[in-house]
Amino acid sequence: MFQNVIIGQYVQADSFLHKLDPRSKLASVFLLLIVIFFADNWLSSLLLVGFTVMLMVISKVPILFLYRGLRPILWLVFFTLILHILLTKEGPVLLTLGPLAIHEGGVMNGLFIATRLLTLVMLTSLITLTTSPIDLTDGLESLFTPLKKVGLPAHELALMMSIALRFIPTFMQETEKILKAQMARGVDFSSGPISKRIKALLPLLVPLFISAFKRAEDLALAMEARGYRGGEGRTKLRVLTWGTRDTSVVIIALLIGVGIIWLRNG
Amino acid sequence: MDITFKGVEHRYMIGTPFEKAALHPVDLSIPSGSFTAIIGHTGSGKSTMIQHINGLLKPSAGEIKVGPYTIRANQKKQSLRDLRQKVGLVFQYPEHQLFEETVAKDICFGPMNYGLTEEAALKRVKELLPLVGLGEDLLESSPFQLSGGQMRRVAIAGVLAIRPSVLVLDEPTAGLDPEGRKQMLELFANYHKQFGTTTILVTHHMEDAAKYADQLVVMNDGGVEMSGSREEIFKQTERLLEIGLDLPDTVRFLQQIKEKFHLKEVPLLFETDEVIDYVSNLLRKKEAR
Repeated sequence: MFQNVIIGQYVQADSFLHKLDPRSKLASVFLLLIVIFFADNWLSSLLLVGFTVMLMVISKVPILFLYRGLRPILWLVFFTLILHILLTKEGPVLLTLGPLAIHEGGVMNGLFIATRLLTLVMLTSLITLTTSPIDLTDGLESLFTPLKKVGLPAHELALMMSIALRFIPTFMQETEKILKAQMARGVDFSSGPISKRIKALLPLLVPLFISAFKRAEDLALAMEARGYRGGEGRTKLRVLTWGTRDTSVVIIALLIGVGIIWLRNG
Repeated sequence: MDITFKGVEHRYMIGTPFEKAALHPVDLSIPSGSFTAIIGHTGSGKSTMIQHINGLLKPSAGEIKVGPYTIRANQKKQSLRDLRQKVGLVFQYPEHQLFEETVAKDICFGPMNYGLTEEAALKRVKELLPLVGLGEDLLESSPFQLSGGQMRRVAIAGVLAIRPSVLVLDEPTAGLDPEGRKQMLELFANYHKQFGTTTILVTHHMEDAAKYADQLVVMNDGGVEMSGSREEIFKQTERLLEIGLDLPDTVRFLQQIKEKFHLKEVPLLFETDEVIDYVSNLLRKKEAR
Protein backbone atom coordinates (compact mmCIF):
# COMPACT_ATOMS: atom_id res chain seq x y z
CA MET A 1 0.00 0.00 0.00
CA PHE A 2 2.72 2.45 0.99
CA GLN A 3 5.60 0.71 -0.70
CA ASN A 4 5.73 3.29 -3.44
CA VAL A 5 6.40 6.19 -1.13
CA ILE A 6 9.93 7.45 -1.45
CA ILE A 7 11.08 9.38 1.58
CA GLY A 8 12.52 12.80 0.81
CA GLN A 9 13.24 13.54 -2.78
CA TYR A 10 16.91 12.65 -2.77
CA VAL A 11 18.02 11.14 -6.07
CA GLN A 12 21.35 9.38 -5.93
CA ALA A 13 23.70 10.39 -8.74
CA ASP A 14 27.33 11.24 -9.26
CA SER A 15 27.33 14.91 -10.14
CA PHE A 16 29.15 18.08 -9.21
CA LEU A 17 26.14 19.20 -7.17
CA HIS A 18 25.98 15.92 -5.27
CA LYS A 19 29.62 16.24 -4.28
CA LEU A 20 29.29 19.75 -2.90
CA ASP A 21 29.30 20.39 0.81
CA PRO A 22 25.68 20.83 1.92
CA ARG A 23 26.64 24.12 3.57
CA SER A 24 27.80 25.71 0.32
CA LYS A 25 24.61 24.60 -1.40
CA LEU A 26 22.42 25.93 1.38
CA ALA A 27 24.27 29.24 1.59
CA SER A 28 24.26 29.80 -2.19
CA VAL A 29 20.59 28.97 -2.57
CA PHE A 30 19.69 31.15 0.40
CA LEU A 31 21.54 34.03 -1.21
CA LEU A 32 19.88 33.47 -4.58
CA LEU A 33 16.43 33.21 -2.99
CA ILE A 34 16.78 36.75 -1.69
CA VAL A 35 18.20 38.04 -4.94
CA ILE A 36 15.43 36.45 -7.01
CA PHE A 37 13.06 39.18 -5.85
CA PHE A 38 15.26 41.83 -7.44
CA ALA A 39 15.00 40.28 -10.89
CA ASP A 40 12.52 42.61 -12.56
CA ASN A 41 13.73 42.89 -16.13
CA TRP A 42 14.51 40.70 -19.11
CA LEU A 43 18.24 40.56 -18.61
CA SER A 44 18.25 39.60 -14.93
CA SER A 45 15.41 37.11 -15.42
CA LEU A 46 17.33 35.50 -18.26
CA LEU A 47 20.45 35.35 -16.10
CA LEU A 48 18.49 33.59 -13.34
CA VAL A 49 16.75 31.15 -15.65
CA GLY A 50 19.99 30.41 -17.47
CA PHE A 51 21.80 29.70 -14.25
CA THR A 52 18.99 27.49 -12.91
CA VAL A 53 18.78 25.50 -16.15
CA MET A 54 22.54 25.02 -16.05
CA LEU A 55 22.28 23.66 -12.51
CA MET A 56 19.45 21.36 -13.56
CA VAL A 57 21.63 19.94 -16.31
CA ILE A 58 24.74 19.40 -14.19
CA SER A 59 22.70 17.88 -11.34
CA LYS A 60 22.13 14.76 -13.55
CA VAL A 61 18.71 14.38 -11.89
CA PRO A 62 16.18 12.81 -14.31
CA ILE A 63 13.80 15.42 -15.71
CA LEU A 64 10.80 13.55 -14.26
CA PHE A 65 11.98 14.21 -10.70
CA LEU A 66 12.62 17.87 -11.50
CA TYR A 67 9.13 18.17 -12.90
CA ARG A 68 7.68 16.47 -9.83
CA GLY A 69 9.17 19.22 -7.68
CA LEU A 70 7.49 21.89 -9.79
CA ARG A 71 4.13 20.20 -10.22
CA PRO A 72 2.49 21.34 -6.95
CA ILE A 73 3.04 25.03 -7.76
CA LEU A 74 2.19 25.01 -11.46
CA TRP A 75 -1.41 26.09 -10.78
CA LEU A 76 -0.27 28.86 -8.47
CA VAL A 77 2.12 30.14 -11.14
CA PHE A 78 -0.61 29.98 -13.75
CA PHE A 79 -3.07 31.94 -11.62
CA THR A 80 -0.61 34.66 -10.65
CA LEU A 81 0.24 35.01 -14.31
CA ILE A 82 -3.42 35.39 -15.30
CA LEU A 83 -4.18 37.79 -12.45
CA HIS A 84 -1.22 39.96 -13.35
CA ILE A 85 -2.14 40.04 -16.99
CA LEU A 86 -5.73 41.02 -16.24
CA LEU A 87 -5.26 43.40 -13.32
CA THR A 88 -2.05 45.37 -13.88
CA LYS A 89 -2.76 48.59 -15.71
CA GLU A 90 0.64 49.79 -16.86
CA GLY A 91 2.08 50.68 -20.23
CA PRO A 92 0.31 50.67 -23.59
CA VAL A 93 -2.83 48.56 -24.14
CA LEU A 94 -2.14 45.43 -26.16
CA LEU A 95 -5.65 44.00 -26.47
CA THR A 96 -9.17 44.82 -25.33
CA LEU A 97 -11.71 42.10 -24.60
CA GLY A 98 -14.97 43.81 -23.68
CA PRO A 99 -14.44 45.43 -20.29
CA LEU A 100 -10.97 43.89 -19.92
CA ALA A 101 -7.88 45.60 -21.25
CA ILE A 102 -4.58 43.77 -21.34
CA HIS A 103 -1.64 46.08 -20.80
CA GLU A 104 1.96 45.43 -21.80
CA GLY A 105 3.12 46.05 -18.23
CA GLY A 106 0.75 43.34 -16.98
CA VAL A 107 2.12 40.72 -19.34
CA MET A 108 5.68 41.64 -18.44
CA ASN A 109 5.07 41.67 -14.70
CA GLY A 110 3.18 38.40 -14.88
CA LEU A 111 6.01 36.72 -16.73
CA PHE A 112 8.62 38.04 -14.31
CA ILE A 113 6.67 36.85 -11.29
CA ALA A 114 6.15 33.44 -12.89
CA THR A 115 9.89 33.11 -13.59
CA ARG A 116 10.70 34.09 -10.02
CA LEU A 117 8.32 31.52 -8.57
CA LEU A 118 9.53 28.77 -10.86
CA THR A 119 13.25 29.42 -10.26
CA LEU A 120 12.64 29.74 -6.52
CA VAL A 121 10.99 26.34 -6.30
CA MET A 122 13.47 24.76 -8.70
CA LEU A 123 16.48 25.97 -6.74
CA THR A 124 15.12 24.73 -3.43
CA SER A 125 14.12 21.36 -4.90
CA LEU A 126 17.59 21.03 -6.38
CA ILE A 127 18.99 21.11 -2.85
CA THR A 128 16.75 18.33 -1.60
CA LEU A 129 17.21 16.38 -4.83
CA THR A 130 21.00 16.38 -4.63
CA THR A 131 21.56 16.25 -0.85
CA SER A 132 20.73 13.26 1.30
CA PRO A 133 18.51 14.10 4.31
CA ILE A 134 21.35 13.28 6.70
CA ASP A 135 23.77 15.64 4.93
CA LEU A 136 21.09 18.28 4.90
CA THR A 137 20.55 18.14 8.67
CA ASP A 138 24.31 18.09 9.26
CA GLY A 139 24.70 21.14 7.05
CA LEU A 140 21.87 23.01 8.74
CA GLU A 141 23.24 22.20 12.16
CA SER A 142 26.67 23.46 11.19
CA LEU A 143 25.27 26.64 9.65
CA PHE A 144 23.10 27.39 12.67
CA THR A 145 25.80 26.72 15.25
CA PRO A 146 26.87 30.41 15.45
CA LEU A 147 23.27 31.23 16.36
CA LYS A 148 23.61 29.20 19.56
CA LYS A 149 24.90 32.37 21.19
CA VAL A 150 21.48 33.95 20.77
CA GLY A 151 19.79 30.85 22.16
CA LEU A 152 18.95 28.85 19.04
CA PRO A 153 19.20 25.12 19.92
CA ALA A 154 20.94 24.16 16.65
CA HIS A 155 21.97 20.66 17.67
CA GLU A 156 18.58 19.79 19.12
CA LEU A 157 16.76 21.04 16.04
CA ALA A 158 19.02 18.99 13.78
CA LEU A 159 18.52 15.93 15.96
CA MET A 160 14.76 16.37 15.86
CA MET A 161 14.91 16.55 12.09
CA SER A 162 16.97 13.39 11.72
CA ILE A 163 14.77 11.48 14.17
CA ALA A 164 11.67 12.59 12.29
CA LEU A 165 13.19 11.44 9.00
CA ARG A 166 14.28 8.16 10.49
CA PHE A 167 10.80 7.36 11.78
CA ILE A 168 8.81 8.15 8.67
CA PRO A 169 9.19 4.62 7.21
CA THR A 170 8.44 3.02 10.58
CA PHE A 171 5.35 5.13 10.91
CA MET A 172 4.25 4.15 7.40
CA GLN A 173 4.59 0.46 8.17
CA GLU A 174 2.66 0.91 11.37
CA THR A 175 -0.09 2.77 9.51
CA GLU A 176 -0.34 0.00 6.95
CA LYS A 177 -0.56 -2.66 9.61
CA ILE A 178 -3.29 -0.94 11.61
CA LEU A 179 -5.13 -0.03 8.43
CA LYS A 180 -5.21 -3.69 7.45
CA ALA A 181 -6.20 -4.86 10.91
CA GLN A 182 -9.16 -2.48 10.98
CA MET A 183 -10.13 -3.36 7.41
CA ALA A 184 -10.25 -6.98 8.55
CA ARG A 185 -12.67 -5.84 11.25
CA GLY A 186 -14.97 -4.40 8.62
CA VAL A 187 -13.88 -0.76 8.38
CA ASP A 188 -14.28 0.64 4.90
CA PHE A 189 -11.77 3.43 4.37
CA SER A 190 -12.36 4.00 0.70
CA SER A 191 -16.08 4.30 0.04
CA GLY A 192 -19.18 5.93 1.43
CA PRO A 193 -19.91 9.58 2.18
CA ILE A 194 -17.10 11.86 3.39
CA SER A 195 -18.50 12.15 6.92
CA LYS A 196 -18.47 8.38 7.27
CA ARG A 197 -14.96 8.15 5.90
CA ILE A 198 -13.68 10.74 8.34
CA LYS A 199 -15.24 8.79 11.18
CA ALA A 200 -13.55 5.66 9.84
CA LEU A 201 -10.19 7.33 10.43
CA LEU A 202 -10.61 7.27 14.19
CA PRO A 203 -9.80 3.55 14.57
CA LEU A 204 -6.64 4.27 12.59
CA LEU A 205 -5.49 7.48 14.28
CA VAL A 206 -5.96 6.49 17.91
CA PRO A 207 -3.69 3.41 17.74
CA LEU A 208 -1.18 5.35 15.63
CA PHE A 209 -0.87 8.16 18.18
CA ILE A 210 -0.60 5.71 21.03
CA SER A 211 2.21 3.81 19.36
CA ALA A 212 3.98 7.03 18.33
CA PHE A 213 4.03 8.27 21.93
CA LYS A 214 5.19 4.90 23.14
CA ARG A 215 7.95 4.84 20.57
CA ALA A 216 9.06 8.34 21.53
CA GLU A 217 9.31 7.28 25.15
CA ASP A 218 11.25 4.14 24.27
CA LEU A 219 13.65 6.11 22.10
CA ALA A 220 14.25 8.71 24.79
CA LEU A 221 15.00 5.96 27.29
CA ALA A 222 17.30 4.16 24.88
CA MET A 223 19.20 7.38 24.18
CA GLU A 224 19.64 8.14 27.85
CA ALA A 225 20.71 4.58 28.52
CA ARG A 226 23.48 5.10 25.99
CA GLY A 227 24.60 8.27 27.69
CA TYR A 228 23.18 10.91 25.38
CA ARG A 229 23.45 14.30 27.00
CA GLY A 230 22.87 16.83 24.21
CA GLY A 231 25.30 18.21 21.68
CA GLU A 232 27.95 19.48 24.10
CA GLY A 233 31.35 18.04 23.23
CA ARG A 234 29.86 15.54 20.79
CA THR A 235 31.96 14.48 17.82
CA LYS A 236 30.62 13.31 14.49
CA LEU A 237 31.17 10.15 12.51
CA ARG A 238 30.64 12.01 9.25
CA VAL A 239 32.59 15.23 9.09
CA LEU A 240 31.64 17.83 6.50
CA THR A 241 34.55 19.00 4.36
CA TRP A 242 34.66 22.39 2.71
CA GLY A 243 36.68 22.34 -0.51
CA THR A 244 37.76 24.80 -3.17
CA ARG A 245 34.73 23.94 -5.25
CA ASP A 246 32.49 24.98 -2.39
CA THR A 247 34.21 28.35 -2.12
CA SER A 248 33.92 28.85 -5.87
CA VAL A 249 30.22 27.96 -5.87
CA VAL A 250 29.50 30.53 -3.18
CA ILE A 251 31.53 33.13 -5.11
CA ILE A 252 29.59 32.40 -8.31
CA ALA A 253 26.30 32.75 -6.41
CA LEU A 254 27.53 36.05 -4.97
CA LEU A 255 28.53 37.32 -8.41
CA ILE A 256 25.13 36.42 -9.85
CA GLY A 257 23.48 38.13 -6.92
CA VAL A 258 25.49 41.31 -7.39
CA GLY A 259 24.83 41.15 -11.13
CA ILE A 260 21.07 40.91 -10.67
CA ILE A 261 20.97 43.79 -8.20
CA TRP A 262 23.14 45.85 -10.56
CA LEU A 263 20.83 45.10 -13.50
CA ARG A 264 17.82 46.17 -11.52
CA ASN A 265 15.57 48.88 -12.93
CA GLY A 266 15.96 52.26 -11.20
CA MET B 1 -14.95 -23.13 4.04
CA ASP B 2 -12.45 -24.77 1.72
CA ILE B 3 -9.55 -22.57 0.74
CA THR B 4 -7.57 -23.12 -2.45
CA PHE B 5 -4.61 -21.23 -3.83
CA LYS B 6 -4.03 -21.77 -7.53
CA GLY B 7 -0.77 -20.42 -8.96
CA VAL B 8 -0.88 -17.41 -6.68
CA GLU B 9 1.96 -14.95 -7.12
CA HIS B 10 2.52 -11.70 -5.35
CA ARG B 11 4.91 -8.92 -6.32
CA TYR B 12 5.60 -5.81 -4.34
CA MET B 13 6.23 -2.42 -5.97
CA ILE B 14 5.40 -3.50 -9.49
CA GLY B 15 6.91 -1.27 -12.14
CA THR B 16 9.66 0.21 -9.97
CA PRO B 17 13.31 -0.75 -9.72
CA PHE B 18 12.44 -2.19 -6.30
CA GLU B 19 10.04 -4.80 -7.68
CA LYS B 20 10.28 -7.95 -5.66
CA ALA B 21 8.50 -11.27 -5.82
CA ALA B 22 7.17 -12.12 -2.37
CA LEU B 23 5.27 -15.21 -3.46
CA HIS B 24 6.27 -17.57 -6.23
CA PRO B 25 3.38 -19.54 -7.66
CA VAL B 26 1.73 -21.03 -4.59
CA ASP B 27 -0.63 -23.97 -4.90
CA LEU B 28 -2.28 -25.05 -1.72
CA SER B 29 -5.54 -26.40 -0.47
CA ILE B 30 -6.87 -26.16 3.04
CA PRO B 31 -9.95 -28.29 3.68
CA SER B 32 -12.93 -26.87 5.51
CA GLY B 33 -12.83 -27.39 9.26
CA SER B 34 -9.15 -28.27 9.40
CA PHE B 35 -6.49 -26.85 11.72
CA THR B 36 -3.56 -25.91 9.51
CA ALA B 37 -0.22 -24.63 10.75
CA ILE B 38 1.97 -22.59 8.44
CA ILE B 39 5.62 -22.63 9.40
CA GLY B 40 8.64 -20.96 7.87
CA HIS B 41 11.36 -18.58 8.93
CA THR B 42 11.07 -14.81 8.81
CA GLY B 43 10.64 -13.51 5.26
CA SER B 44 9.47 -16.81 3.83
CA GLY B 45 6.19 -15.28 2.67
CA LYS B 46 3.87 -16.56 5.39
CA SER B 47 2.31 -13.22 6.24
CA THR B 48 2.03 -12.22 2.59
CA MET B 49 0.25 -15.47 1.81
CA ILE B 50 -2.32 -15.32 4.57
CA GLN B 51 -3.28 -11.73 3.78
CA HIS B 52 -4.56 -13.01 0.45
CA ILE B 53 -7.20 -15.11 2.18
CA ASN B 54 -9.39 -12.12 3.04
CA GLY B 55 -8.35 -9.94 0.12
CA LEU B 56 -6.14 -7.49 2.02
CA LEU B 57 -3.54 -8.25 -0.61
CA LYS B 58 -4.48 -9.01 -4.21
CA PRO B 59 -2.58 -11.64 -6.15
CA SER B 60 -0.40 -10.49 -9.06
CA ALA B 61 -1.26 -13.76 -10.79
CA GLY B 62 -3.39 -16.80 -10.08
CA GLU B 63 -6.56 -17.11 -8.03
CA ILE B 64 -7.70 -17.81 -4.50
CA LYS B 65 -10.95 -19.53 -3.68
CA VAL B 66 -12.46 -19.22 -0.23
CA GLY B 67 -15.75 -21.11 -0.10
CA PRO B 68 -18.02 -19.41 -2.64
CA TYR B 69 -15.72 -16.37 -3.08
CA THR B 70 -13.01 -16.11 -5.70
CA ILE B 71 -10.25 -13.52 -5.89
CA ARG B 72 -8.42 -13.38 -9.20
CA ALA B 73 -5.46 -11.36 -10.37
CA ASN B 74 -6.38 -8.24 -12.35
CA GLN B 75 -9.95 -8.49 -11.23
CA LYS B 76 -11.91 -5.27 -11.23
CA LYS B 77 -12.67 -3.78 -7.86
CA GLN B 78 -15.12 -5.95 -6.01
CA SER B 79 -16.78 -5.86 -2.66
CA LEU B 80 -14.75 -7.86 -0.20
CA ARG B 81 -17.08 -7.10 2.67
CA ASP B 82 -18.79 -10.50 2.77
CA LEU B 83 -15.50 -12.33 2.41
CA ARG B 84 -13.91 -10.31 5.21
CA GLN B 85 -16.82 -11.09 7.47
CA LYS B 86 -16.26 -14.80 6.90
CA VAL B 87 -12.49 -14.68 7.32
CA GLY B 88 -11.27 -13.35 10.66
CA LEU B 89 -7.64 -12.28 10.71
CA VAL B 90 -5.68 -11.85 13.92
CA PHE B 91 -2.49 -9.95 13.16
CA GLN B 92 0.79 -10.13 15.00
CA TYR B 93 0.56 -8.04 18.17
CA PRO B 94 -3.19 -7.55 17.68
CA GLU B 95 -3.34 -5.33 20.80
CA HIS B 96 -2.07 -2.49 18.59
CA GLN B 97 -5.47 -2.26 16.92
CA LEU B 98 -7.39 -1.34 20.08
CA PHE B 99 -8.79 2.18 20.05
CA GLU B 100 -12.16 2.41 21.80
CA GLU B 101 -12.91 3.91 25.19
CA THR B 102 -14.05 0.67 26.76
CA VAL B 103 -13.28 -3.00 26.28
CA ALA B 104 -16.92 -3.74 25.46
CA LYS B 105 -17.04 -1.10 22.73
CA ASP B 106 -13.83 -2.34 21.17
CA ILE B 107 -15.04 -5.93 20.97
CA CYS B 108 -18.38 -4.76 19.53
CA PHE B 109 -16.64 -2.66 16.87
CA GLY B 110 -16.21 -5.49 14.33
CA PRO B 111 -19.67 -7.08 14.64
CA MET B 112 -21.34 -3.66 14.46
CA ASN B 113 -19.39 -2.82 11.31
CA TYR B 114 -20.97 -5.89 9.80
CA GLY B 115 -24.44 -4.68 10.69
CA LEU B 116 -25.15 -6.16 14.11
CA THR B 117 -27.12 -4.05 16.58
CA GLU B 118 -25.44 -2.99 19.78
CA GLU B 119 -27.54 -5.36 21.93
CA ALA B 120 -26.79 -8.34 19.71
CA ALA B 121 -23.08 -7.46 19.68
CA LEU B 122 -23.00 -7.09 23.47
CA LYS B 123 -24.68 -10.47 23.80
CA ARG B 124 -21.88 -12.01 21.75
CA VAL B 125 -19.31 -10.24 23.89
CA LYS B 126 -20.77 -11.76 27.07
CA GLU B 127 -20.66 -15.22 25.47
CA LEU B 128 -17.09 -14.76 24.35
CA LEU B 129 -15.58 -13.49 27.59
CA PRO B 130 -15.20 -16.84 29.39
CA LEU B 131 -13.82 -18.34 26.17
CA VAL B 132 -10.99 -15.83 25.90
CA GLY B 133 -10.46 -15.80 29.65
CA LEU B 134 -11.56 -12.28 30.53
CA GLY B 135 -13.77 -11.28 33.44
CA GLU B 136 -16.98 -9.30 32.95
CA ASP B 137 -15.69 -6.68 35.37
CA LEU B 138 -13.25 -5.53 32.68
CA LEU B 139 -15.92 -4.65 30.16
CA GLU B 140 -16.27 -1.03 31.20
CA SER B 141 -12.58 -0.27 31.72
CA SER B 142 -10.36 1.32 29.10
CA PRO B 143 -8.43 -1.23 27.05
CA PHE B 144 -5.29 0.84 27.61
CA GLN B 145 -5.34 0.21 31.35
CA LEU B 146 -5.08 -3.55 30.89
CA SER B 147 -1.95 -5.67 30.97
CA GLY B 148 -0.36 -6.71 27.68
CA GLY B 149 -1.81 -10.21 27.84
CA GLN B 150 -5.30 -8.93 28.62
CA MET B 151 -5.10 -6.40 25.79
CA ARG B 152 -4.29 -9.20 23.39
CA ARG B 153 -7.26 -11.22 24.60
CA VAL B 154 -9.52 -8.23 24.06
CA ALA B 155 -8.18 -7.76 20.54
CA ILE B 156 -8.67 -11.44 19.76
CA ALA B 157 -12.19 -11.33 21.18
CA GLY B 158 -12.78 -8.39 18.82
CA VAL B 159 -12.05 -10.67 15.86
CA LEU B 160 -13.88 -13.73 17.22
CA ALA B 161 -16.98 -11.61 17.86
CA ILE B 162 -17.45 -11.31 14.09
CA ARG B 163 -18.00 -15.12 14.13
CA PRO B 164 -15.71 -15.91 11.22
CA SER B 165 -15.92 -19.32 9.55
CA VAL B 166 -12.21 -19.10 8.79
CA LEU B 167 -9.84 -17.90 11.49
CA VAL B 168 -6.36 -16.85 10.42
CA LEU B 169 -3.85 -16.30 13.22
CA ASP B 170 -0.55 -14.62 12.44
CA GLU B 171 1.80 -15.57 15.27
CA PRO B 172 -0.75 -14.89 17.98
CA THR B 173 1.67 -15.89 20.73
CA ALA B 174 4.57 -13.58 19.80
CA GLY B 175 5.93 -11.87 22.89
CA LEU B 176 3.97 -13.96 25.41
CA ASP B 177 5.58 -15.93 28.23
CA PRO B 178 5.41 -19.76 28.00
CA GLU B 179 2.35 -19.96 30.25
CA GLY B 180 0.54 -17.24 28.29
CA ARG B 181 1.44 -18.95 25.05
CA LYS B 182 0.00 -22.24 26.20
CA GLN B 183 -3.23 -20.62 27.38
CA MET B 184 -3.59 -18.70 24.15
CA LEU B 185 -3.17 -21.81 22.01
CA GLU B 186 -5.58 -23.81 24.17
CA LEU B 187 -8.07 -21.00 23.61
CA PHE B 188 -7.78 -21.34 19.84
CA ALA B 189 -7.87 -25.14 19.98
CA ASN B 190 -11.06 -25.01 22.06
CA TYR B 191 -12.64 -22.45 19.79
CA HIS B 192 -11.73 -24.59 16.81
CA LYS B 193 -13.38 -27.65 18.35
CA GLN B 194 -16.44 -25.82 19.60
CA PHE B 195 -17.30 -23.89 16.43
CA GLY B 196 -15.69 -26.03 13.73
CA THR B 197 -13.91 -23.05 12.20
CA THR B 198 -11.23 -23.58 9.61
CA THR B 199 -8.20 -22.44 11.57
CA ILE B 200 -4.89 -21.33 10.09
CA LEU B 201 -2.06 -20.74 12.51
CA VAL B 202 1.17 -19.06 11.42
CA THR B 203 3.92 -19.93 13.85
CA HIS B 204 7.63 -20.25 14.50
CA HIS B 205 7.16 -22.90 17.13
CA MET B 206 7.44 -26.41 15.81
CA GLU B 207 5.98 -27.84 19.04
CA ASP B 208 2.82 -25.78 18.63
CA ALA B 209 2.48 -26.77 15.01
CA ALA B 210 2.98 -30.45 15.84
CA LYS B 211 0.64 -30.37 18.80
CA TYR B 212 -2.37 -28.52 17.46
CA ALA B 213 -2.44 -28.80 13.68
CA ASP B 214 -3.73 -31.65 11.58
CA GLN B 215 -2.08 -30.27 8.48
CA LEU B 216 1.28 -28.52 8.24
CA VAL B 217 2.51 -26.26 5.49
CA VAL B 218 6.19 -25.37 5.33
CA MET B 219 7.06 -22.20 3.48
CA ASN B 220 10.47 -21.27 2.20
CA ASP B 221 11.59 -18.40 0.00
CA GLY B 222 8.08 -17.38 -1.05
CA GLY B 223 6.86 -20.84 -1.98
CA VAL B 224 5.35 -23.91 -0.37
CA GLU B 225 8.24 -26.25 0.40
CA MET B 226 6.17 -29.16 1.71
CA SER B 227 2.79 -29.87 3.19
CA GLY B 228 1.14 -32.78 4.90
CA SER B 229 0.61 -34.39 8.29
CA ARG B 230 3.13 -33.80 11.08
CA GLU B 231 4.65 -37.24 10.52
CA GLU B 232 5.14 -36.52 6.83
CA ILE B 233 6.76 -33.17 7.56
CA PHE B 234 9.00 -33.96 10.49
CA LYS B 235 10.48 -37.10 8.99
CA GLN B 236 12.21 -34.82 6.49
CA THR B 237 14.61 -33.78 9.23
CA GLU B 238 17.51 -32.78 7.03
CA ARG B 239 15.53 -30.65 4.62
CA LEU B 240 13.92 -28.78 7.51
CA LEU B 241 17.28 -28.00 9.08
CA GLU B 242 18.60 -26.98 5.66
CA ILE B 243 15.98 -24.26 5.25
CA GLY B 244 16.69 -22.94 8.71
CA LEU B 245 13.81 -24.49 10.62
CA ASP B 246 13.93 -26.31 13.90
CA LEU B 247 12.46 -29.64 14.94
CA PRO B 248 10.02 -30.17 17.80
CA ASP B 249 11.91 -30.82 21.04
CA THR B 250 10.78 -34.45 21.19
CA VAL B 251 11.87 -35.17 17.62
CA ARG B 252 15.21 -33.46 18.12
CA PHE B 253 15.82 -35.34 21.35
CA LEU B 254 15.16 -38.68 19.64
CA GLN B 255 17.46 -37.71 16.78
CA GLN B 256 20.24 -37.15 19.28
CA ILE B 257 19.48 -40.46 20.99
CA LYS B 258 19.75 -42.09 17.59
CA GLU B 259 23.21 -40.64 17.02
CA LYS B 260 24.52 -41.32 20.53
CA PHE B 261 23.33 -44.93 20.59
CA HIS B 262 24.08 -45.57 16.91
CA LEU B 263 20.53 -46.68 16.30
CA LYS B 264 19.28 -47.43 12.82
CA GLU B 265 15.93 -45.81 13.35
CA VAL B 266 13.94 -43.93 15.93
CA PRO B 267 10.18 -43.40 15.84
CA LEU B 268 8.63 -39.94 15.33
CA LEU B 269 7.04 -39.08 18.64
CA PHE B 270 5.47 -35.80 19.66
CA GLU B 271 4.30 -36.47 23.21
CA THR B 272 6.74 -36.30 26.09
CA ASP B 273 5.19 -39.39 27.72
CA GLU B 274 5.71 -41.45 24.57
CA VAL B 275 9.33 -40.36 24.39
CA ILE B 276 9.90 -41.30 28.04
CA ASP B 277 8.36 -44.72 27.45
CA TYR B 278 10.46 -45.27 24.35
CA VAL B 279 13.73 -44.22 25.97
CA SER B 280 13.18 -46.21 29.17
CA ASN B 281 12.37 -49.29 27.11
CA LEU B 282 15.52 -48.70 25.12
CA LEU B 283 17.63 -48.41 28.24
CA ARG B 284 16.07 -51.50 29.78
CA LYS B 285 16.86 -53.44 26.64
CA LYS B 286 20.47 -52.24 26.77
CA GLU B 287 20.82 -53.29 30.39
CA ALA B 288 19.28 -56.67 29.76
CA ARG B 289 21.86 -57.37 27.11
